[in-house]
Amino acid sequence: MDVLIIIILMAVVTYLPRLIPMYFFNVGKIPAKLKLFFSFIPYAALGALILPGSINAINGKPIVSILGITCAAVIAWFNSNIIITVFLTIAAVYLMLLTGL
Amino acid sequence: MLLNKTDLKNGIYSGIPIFIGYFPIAITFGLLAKSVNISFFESFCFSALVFAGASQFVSINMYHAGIGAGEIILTVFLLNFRHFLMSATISSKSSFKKILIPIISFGITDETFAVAALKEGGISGSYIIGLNFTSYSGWVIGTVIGYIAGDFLPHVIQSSFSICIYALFVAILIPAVRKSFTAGFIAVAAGAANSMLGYFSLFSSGWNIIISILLVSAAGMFIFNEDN
Repeated sequence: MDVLIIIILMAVVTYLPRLIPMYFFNVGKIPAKLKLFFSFIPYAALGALILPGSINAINGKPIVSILGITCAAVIAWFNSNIIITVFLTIAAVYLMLLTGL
Repeated sequence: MLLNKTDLKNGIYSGIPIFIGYFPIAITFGLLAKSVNISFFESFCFSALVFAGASQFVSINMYHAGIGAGEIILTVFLLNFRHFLMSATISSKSSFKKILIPIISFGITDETFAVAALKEGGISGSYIIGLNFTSYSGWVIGTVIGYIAGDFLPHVIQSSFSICIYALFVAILIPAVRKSFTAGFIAVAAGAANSMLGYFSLFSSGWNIIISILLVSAAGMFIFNEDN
């Protein structure tokens, strides 16, 4: 099959799960218990996205990855600016990689 | 007015960390696409139409390994189905003009979702469109630059940028955890669940994420009450 056709089909199967729920879940129409359920999803999603993936964030270097994520957590604890946290973490990881960790 | 200028601007600004995170990954994607002989135009379409990081890498690997189109497309569907939950969550927090839904939903990724879902106060359609726009630009521009000029980046810089997305997730999560024990508990439980599912590798990684999110959020619904 032509690559472009595969790409278009991938685009369709990726787009539909993003599109369809927006027509069905609207604020106000949802029972309180379900709303509570939805309120937990962002935290659960973040937890599942961070672990275990972040342990191998830098390919083949789990120690640098774990140290990097720990740095990010410490920096984020003391400042809530996302850009600062991201940049300081990159700098820390860059320094660790330079020292050959 | 269909769009609110201030919200749009705020959204565009909030997208900057995602841009920074996407850019180097997209460069890697452009490089990879080139190395498996996918044309420049096709690589551009890949990122511009699919706009879903991990699944793009997976599908290029499968394509390169000679795996059939049907299996590739099914895998991409399963990997990206988690966005169904995220889209539902975003729209449960806010209601949009129906006409904007096709545009807003197109840009729902793990990262845009995380930023939008944990934003203080309400989220408007204009905010999300701005947020998605910045993120999308990072992904598409990165792919194009990676395809054309990716070889020039020193390896150590490319590697250091791989921490970006995770630093972003942590940067979003930690301030929320500081304020609410429940948030931290839910996040750690989901991370543990996902790690365990990954260890037993019964399902694909996309399903592991979906199952972890559903299980932990449902458990949370029974353990905690509305005041937490």
